[in-house]
Amino acid sequence: MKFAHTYIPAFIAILVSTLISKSSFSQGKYFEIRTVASGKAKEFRARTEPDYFGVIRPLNDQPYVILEYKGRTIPQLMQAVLKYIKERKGLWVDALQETDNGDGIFIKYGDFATIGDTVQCKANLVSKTRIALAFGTDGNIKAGQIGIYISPLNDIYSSLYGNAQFRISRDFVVITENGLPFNVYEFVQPKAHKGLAYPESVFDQDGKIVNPVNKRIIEDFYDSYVTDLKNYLDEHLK
Amino acid sequence: MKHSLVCSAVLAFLLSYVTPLFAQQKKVDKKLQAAIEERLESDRLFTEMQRSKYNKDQWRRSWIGAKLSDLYKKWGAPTRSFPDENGGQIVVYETTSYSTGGTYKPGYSITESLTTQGGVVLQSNTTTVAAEDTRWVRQNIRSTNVYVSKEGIITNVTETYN
Repeated sequence: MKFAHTYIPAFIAILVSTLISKSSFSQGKYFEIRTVASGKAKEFRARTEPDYFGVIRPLNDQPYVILEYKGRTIPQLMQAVLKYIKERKGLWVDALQETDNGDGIFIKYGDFATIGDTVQCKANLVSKTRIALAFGTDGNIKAGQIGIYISPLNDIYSSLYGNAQFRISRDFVVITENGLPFNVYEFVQPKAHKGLAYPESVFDQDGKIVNPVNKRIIEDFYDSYVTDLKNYLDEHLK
Repeated sequence: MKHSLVCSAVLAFLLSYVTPLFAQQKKVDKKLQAAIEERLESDRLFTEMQRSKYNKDQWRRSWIGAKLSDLYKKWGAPTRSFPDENGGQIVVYETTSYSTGGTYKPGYSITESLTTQGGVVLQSNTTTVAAEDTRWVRQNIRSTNVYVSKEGIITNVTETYN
């Protein structure tokens, strides 16, 4: 019995910690959260502003996540994407934009959705997601391909309050309906002791992963936009 | 007796071990509490800022579709208005405010003299420090631009700051 009480939990603990440490090195299917050195000189930064900031990027330094539909023209791909946006409740078209040389087109669309709550993520997290799709814009995207990336206009908001209810206006301003405190999500914990109050941050101030669970949840969240679009286009274009 | 002595010794040992742990825990809790308070303070400021933006947008949108005559009733005569290329007009309301800052330190002179006991000045040296004036006044103009169709209906409201 002593064995059962003393060693089995220890074994489980080792197993769990092994799984957690493995998951901390795992990444999303299409996107990963990474740190990038702050471009700001130290003297222009606030006392608690970290040396890094977090970004969501396609895996392996690729400029885009590529979806391939061989033989499909740009108008066909665009038409299918616009139909997809129209059919998905909550998505809105931000912009239809031609490239400067007129060779390619961007479709930018947005969404406002919950990433996780205080139980899953240690804070209430919502995302004002901006996704950009590129069609024939440069050498990275060939005929029949769609390049996907998360726009820099993307914003995650966070509140320590479990009952914070987020709302977005028609001008894309995010508030909490009940006025509970919230802020822009910090991928990297602020410097000094203030960092202790950011359990939902993925990285500590030195850029070390301290919350692999949230890293995974957020990456899965953004991956799901690609998966959903891919499933739709596979069904309607292939 | 022997038993109670042993108990006291064990308790004393445990206390000597546990007390610093509690003290450390208390210190961490205090740090955490201060960190949370600091975070919530900046969260509150951000929340208020967002709410103010949201309210302003709501107010702006509430005028879209309304008649220009209703706007005049509520706001009075505009600062200026001019026609646009579609036969409508742009009506501008301006409010001016001033912000000030800086300080003024008056200048002064210090004269140091070396005198004899009888009051005869042997040497005199005067140092003058010029006045320091860093005061400034800035004029802030907020323009509310109301776009009106040729039918007299408000189509958009924007705000600019100069």
